[in-house]
Amino acid sequence: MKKHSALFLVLCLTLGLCVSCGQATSAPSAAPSGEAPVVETDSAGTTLKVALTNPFSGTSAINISNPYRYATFSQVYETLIAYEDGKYVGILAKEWKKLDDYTWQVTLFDDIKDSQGNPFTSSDVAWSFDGQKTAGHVLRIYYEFGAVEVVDDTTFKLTLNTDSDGAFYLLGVQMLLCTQKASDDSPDQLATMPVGTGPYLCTKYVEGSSCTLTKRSDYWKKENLPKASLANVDTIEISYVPEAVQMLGTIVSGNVQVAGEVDMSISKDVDSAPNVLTKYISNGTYNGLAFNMKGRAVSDNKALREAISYAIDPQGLIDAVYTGHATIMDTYGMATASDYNPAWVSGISYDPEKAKEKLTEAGYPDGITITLVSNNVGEDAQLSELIQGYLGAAGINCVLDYVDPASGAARLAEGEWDITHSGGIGVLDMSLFWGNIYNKSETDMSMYFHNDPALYEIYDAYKLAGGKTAENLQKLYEYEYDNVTWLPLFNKHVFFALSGGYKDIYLNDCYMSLPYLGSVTR
Amino acid sequence: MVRYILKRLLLMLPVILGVIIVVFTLLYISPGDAASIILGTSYTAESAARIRETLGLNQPYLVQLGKYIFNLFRFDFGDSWVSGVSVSSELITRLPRTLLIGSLSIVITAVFGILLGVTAAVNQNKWQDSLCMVLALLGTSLPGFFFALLLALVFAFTLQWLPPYGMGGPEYYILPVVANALGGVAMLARQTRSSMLEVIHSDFIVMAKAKGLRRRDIIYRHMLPNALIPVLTTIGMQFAGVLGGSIIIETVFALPGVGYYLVTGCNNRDYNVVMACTIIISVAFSLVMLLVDLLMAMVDPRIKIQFSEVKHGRGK
Repeated sequence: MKKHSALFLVLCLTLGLCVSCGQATSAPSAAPSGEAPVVETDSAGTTLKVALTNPFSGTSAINISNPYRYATFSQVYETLIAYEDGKYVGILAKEWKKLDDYTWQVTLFDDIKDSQGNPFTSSDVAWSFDGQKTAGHVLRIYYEFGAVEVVDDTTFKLTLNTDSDGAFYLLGVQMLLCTQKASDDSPDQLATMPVGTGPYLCTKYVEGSSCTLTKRSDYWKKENLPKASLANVDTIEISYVPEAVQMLGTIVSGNVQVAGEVDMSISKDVDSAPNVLTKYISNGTYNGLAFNMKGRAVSDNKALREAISYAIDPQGLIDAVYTGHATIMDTYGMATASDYNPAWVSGISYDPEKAKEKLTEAGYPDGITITLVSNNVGEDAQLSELIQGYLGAAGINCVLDYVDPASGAARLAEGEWDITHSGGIGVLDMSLFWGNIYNKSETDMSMYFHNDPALYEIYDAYKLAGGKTAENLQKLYEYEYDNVTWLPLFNKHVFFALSGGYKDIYLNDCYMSLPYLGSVTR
Repeated sequence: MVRYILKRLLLMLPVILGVIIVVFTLLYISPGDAASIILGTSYTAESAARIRETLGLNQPYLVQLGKYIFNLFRFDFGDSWVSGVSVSSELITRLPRTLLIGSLSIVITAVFGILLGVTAAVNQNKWQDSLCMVLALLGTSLPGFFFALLLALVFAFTLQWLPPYGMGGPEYYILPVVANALGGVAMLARQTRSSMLEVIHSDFIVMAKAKGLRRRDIIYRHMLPNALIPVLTTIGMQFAGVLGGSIIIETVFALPGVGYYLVTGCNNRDYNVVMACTIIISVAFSLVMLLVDLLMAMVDPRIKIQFSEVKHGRGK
């Protein structure tokens, strides 16, 4: 009898598991209380199958610092503006103008509605910006945001903490917006199902696995659609494939028509696959090495900094870590910046013999030991080992101090290091680039301990309202060129694969070349 | 028996409490700072202090631990530091998937492992024995992730019989379950063979043969039940392997279960997620080991008698 009871219990357990483990998905979005949305679609419509490398957590527009979340939801939520064919175009914003050094006035289109029918107004912009700023774990650019003053339903004034035009445009193209009403109506503030104003509606979302976007028949924007608002396919089925071999298999076998943010380790195999078109695009990031400018051997020794700079071969790093898919950054500036000067003189380039000469000039003919602080995972770890090798060949013993990414900022603040990886994204103008390097922290120094009064005289003049002149910019460039406190290395590429006859897809040039999936064209 | 089950359930409490304390303490002393993770590139000492204050991370260790345990009794694991989503709600969605994969893997492990082991033992030193043991050796030697990718390449991409990744109907579970079960099948086959060979030469088996019982009856009614005790223990231990293996299998097949969640949590340094997943996996394992003990009591009359002696005050 007991045996039978036990067997019965086991059967119940197994059945229970099977019943509870079906296609558990989050509730669809159109209805606030979990009701199924009414989605009008053409059953014979086109379906685009997409594989993206990285999954993410959460679906809210707020706290959107994860770019992979942006890649999925950039056409469910919308931004104020987009950058297309070399110019900015309005998405939610009809027009915008700069009122003074720090204030912009933006006018929204007046008929914007999200997929639940909620009107999108200036108040929603203010709510989204405030939420983004207090959400934590956001991109540095959000800290340039000051306040939004609502003028009326369609007009608001946006005040920034900088007079950089690039900061305005970066916020405009990066920041996804939604209505406060949709968030309030959602049981978890849209954390598990997005509701936005974009041309697509999320109809199914399984965190870490898949997402289905369906074209909205009631999309508010009817004509003069910018590329970011295009919905060229009726349904987009996104799968998240974190494993590189699985990704390769799915691209080569034609399971998907678009594969995005693909791991470079499989790029050569995908390149050689028949009927697959590959696209390599700069993702708008920059990578370099920063020198510790306080209390270390490198701090007061320009020749030593030059020796380190001459010893490292950026192309070698690119070939080894990115299979050749990155561009050498040969000046102290980003070519994507609107005020980039093509006439700027190139910085230091790889020359191991000159590195040895400079090392002798620095007073270390027999070599020196320096410390490189680096994340202990991913590309940074690989790059660090290569840099260690290059420096070793020039007579510089480089000790790798690997830290968990969670401890990185704190370790840098301790100051017991000589060089570290330094990079950033979204450089629309050079003030954003210099800001990442020179901005002072609460210690009244930059995060790399820049504390030279001569530097800050130039930098402060440049940073002040009205100070972003070509002349001031040139002075900053020359300071960096003369003092070599930062070593530019490369700009990375991202890698997309298209098949099934699709030839092109529109990418957000201002934000890591993230795709607008609905814009695919044959 | 009921008393024994209750006693075992009560004994589980200190085990689970111990796991919670160990996991919490390890993550407490491990390098890394929640404020640094949450703030990311916008880290400043002031904002970090504010975050620590909000999360209660500037409180003494014992206060933090006490609060964490208190919240666990309400099944509140806190929110993900990265996404802000409730960890408990995520676990409720993901745990059934992991348990389903684990349970099905164990079923496959048990059925095929025992079958292979019995076949090898009753055909000792014949070709069937060699074949089963070669298969077992292969299964033990092949790393789980490699076998998983191999299965995907053959059955999903080449033959296109099954989906290569993702979540949907039952077909999505076939490759992950098979990949997850392989190592267990191999281990169990070897264990079963070894246990069966010990029993096969026992006097009572010789007697059964002398009495002219059918071969099948001898194997399945006399040999197998007596060889099953160590096999059941192995199955229980395999469940731990299967749960651990789900971390790899779920990542390879993009199946959003607890294992995948744990990996994401580790990659993001999202310690609330890491702690919750570790605790849940430990509790699941404790429960399975309890189930195994109960099954052993049902299979082995000697253990059953011990319970009844305890019940009547004759045992110790």
